Amino acid sequence: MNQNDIFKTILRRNQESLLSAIEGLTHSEMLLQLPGEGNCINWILGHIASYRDGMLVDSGLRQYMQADEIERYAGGSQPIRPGDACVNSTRLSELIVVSFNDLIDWLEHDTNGLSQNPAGNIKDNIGYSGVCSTLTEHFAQNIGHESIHVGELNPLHELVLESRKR
Amino acid sequence: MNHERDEAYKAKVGYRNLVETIGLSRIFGLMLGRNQSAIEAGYDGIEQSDSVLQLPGRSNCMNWILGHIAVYRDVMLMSIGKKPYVGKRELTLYGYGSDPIYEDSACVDISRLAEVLDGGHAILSEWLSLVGADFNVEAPHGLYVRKGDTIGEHLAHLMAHEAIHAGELGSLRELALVRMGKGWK
Repeated sequence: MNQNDIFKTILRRNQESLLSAIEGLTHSEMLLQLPGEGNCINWILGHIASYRDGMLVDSGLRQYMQADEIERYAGGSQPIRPGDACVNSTRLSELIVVSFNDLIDWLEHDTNGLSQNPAGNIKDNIGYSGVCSTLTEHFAQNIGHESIHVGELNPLHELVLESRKR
Repeated sequence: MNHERDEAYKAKVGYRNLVETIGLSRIFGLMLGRNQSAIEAGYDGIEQSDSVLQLPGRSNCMNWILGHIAVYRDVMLMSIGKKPYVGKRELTLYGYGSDPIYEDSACVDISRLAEVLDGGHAILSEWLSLVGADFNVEAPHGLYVRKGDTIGEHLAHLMAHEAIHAGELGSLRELALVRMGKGWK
C-alpha cells in the first residue's frame, strides 16, 4: 500500500458516506439548520467541493468552481440560510461527483504525481494549513478535513428525515 | 559486477521504501492530529449531562460517539502491538450496532472517555513518528475489527471512520451550547 492507495481508500469512504447522506434530498431540505451555529448541508457540500478543487489545482488538473462560488463556501464564510444567495445543491452534488472522479483517476494513473511539487504557490492554494509544504501533506490535510465535514452531514440527514414526518 | 549492480538496486529500493514509509507516517500523523483536534474541540467544556443530549432523528449522542471512537482507537493500538485502554464493558456499550445512550442509560463518564482518547492519541502519535513503522505488514487477525490486509490499509479505514464520527460531534456541541445558554438560537 502506497500513498496513492491511502488517499484513494479514504476518498472513496468519504464519497460513499457523503452520497448516502444526500441521496434523495431536495435543495430546500439541504438548507435546514440544526440548533446552534452549525452549517447546513448546502454549505458543507460547497465547502467540500471547494477543497476538492484545491487538490485538483495542486495536482495540475482543471478546477470546476468559479471564484465567487469558492468565496461563498470558504472557511469562515457566513452560514447559508433559506433565502440567502448560494449555489444550487444540484450543481454542488454534480461538482462532488466530477471532482471525485478526477481525483481518483489521477491517483490511479499518475503513480508518481504525489512526489511532484504542488502547482502554484502552496500558500495560495485552497486548504493551506500552515503545516504543509508538499503535495502529499496538502492532500492529507484536505482529505482529512473533508472526512470531518462528511461526518457533519449525518445529523443533518436525520434532521431532514424528521422534518418529513411533520 | 552483477553483485555490485544488485547491491545498488537493493539500496535504491530500500531508499524508496524508506521514503514511502516516512510519507505514510506523515499522512497518518497529520490525519490523526486533525482528528484529535476536532474531538477535543467537540468535548471541550462539555459536562457529562450535556454529553447525552440528543439531536432529532436517529443520531447518537456525544457520549456514544466518544466511546465509539475510543473503542476503535483501541483497535488501532492493538494493531500495532500496544495495550488497549478499554475492556468488554466498553465494547458492549460503544461497539458497532450497540444501543443508543440516553440520559438514564449506563455509560462511561465523559472525563474518562477524554482520558482514553488522549492516551491513545499520544501512543499512536509516538509510533507514527518512529522511522521503523512498516505499513505493509499483515494486519493482525483476531482484532475487534480488521479493515484491511495490511496495517496501512487497515489504518486508512480506521482513520477515516474516526474522522467521520469526529465530524458528528460539531452539531452535538452546538446543541450543548444552546442548552447552556451560549448558543444563538
